[in-house]
Amino acid sequence: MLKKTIFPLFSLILAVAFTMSTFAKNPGDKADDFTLDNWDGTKYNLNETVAKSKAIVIMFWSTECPNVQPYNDRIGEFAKEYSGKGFTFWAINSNNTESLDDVAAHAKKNDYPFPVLKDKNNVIADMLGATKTPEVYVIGKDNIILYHGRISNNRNKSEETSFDLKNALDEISADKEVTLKETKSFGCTIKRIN
Amino acid sequence: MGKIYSLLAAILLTVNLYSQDLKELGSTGELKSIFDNAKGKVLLVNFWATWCKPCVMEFPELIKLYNDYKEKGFELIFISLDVPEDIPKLKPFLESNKVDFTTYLSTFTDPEELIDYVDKNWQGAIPATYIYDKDGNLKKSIIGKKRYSDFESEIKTFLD
Repeated sequence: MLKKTIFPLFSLILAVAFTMSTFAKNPGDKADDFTLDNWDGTKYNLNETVAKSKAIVIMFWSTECPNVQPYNDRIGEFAKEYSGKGFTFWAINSNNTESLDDVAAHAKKNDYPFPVLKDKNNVIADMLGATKTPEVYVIGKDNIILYHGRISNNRNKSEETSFDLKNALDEISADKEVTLKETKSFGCTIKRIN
Repeated sequence: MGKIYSLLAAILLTVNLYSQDLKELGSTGELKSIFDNAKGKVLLVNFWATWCKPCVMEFPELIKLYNDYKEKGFELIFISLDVPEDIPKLKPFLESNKVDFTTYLSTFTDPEELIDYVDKNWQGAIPATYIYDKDGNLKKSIIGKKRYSDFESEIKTFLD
């Protein structure tokens, strides 16, 4: 009788755990540890980087999305400025339609001061629940998500009026809780394999 | 921002000289009104933009779906998320796809207001398609490009 109870219960617990792991992660949730390769083959590990950063700014990125490209005129300088304040920046490319060569060429062309990690089979996008580009997750101590959403309210610099990512980083830098933890904007769907 | 939308209005006025079928949509009240007017039909709302490649690829599939089912209790609403600089491409695109019904251009100043009104679980990725039954209840959310057969099987679930 014990066997008849324990096995189904164990299966149910496993099923629930698996289901929960596939739900999107929100501010306050914990990101799972992972390691991805930059386009040049260098490996980057989340846990190790969190341990030595104020927070990690993860940006789901694309070589083609028209909502990403306008940010190329300022994302590099922004990353350099906030790297000086202890933040680490990573771009992640989860698009099945964009090859490693595409990512490398795009990164070199834009002279990014941050790695662009290739998320083969959109594993990390699935773990976080990312759906589009650009989409940002700021991950702090203990892998807790501190901010999720947009860089700003407009892809064009001249029309930006709300600098949501910057505001979040400024609050984290001052050891304050992020006021606006979640924001939304339109973007290109991540081109998943599934 | 005011100058941008003045320019947008000027461009749209030009568009309207050729076609009365592209309307601005700038408030949740207006959106509610559009949804209310569609009650009694199975409604498919597609959020798209000319800058969105998969949106452009699935657009003709949705036009075909509309033409095949419009006499059978089906309504299709396109809401473009093009920005002012995209507008010159928008009208030619609609014409080339033989759009002969009203479509909408979002002029929401805050994208979150539109996104959250439609679906609080939606992060804003497009193409995004929402299917409502004849009573106006949201029945299906689709994020990403789909084919005619995918859309057809979804709407047939709710058509008589």
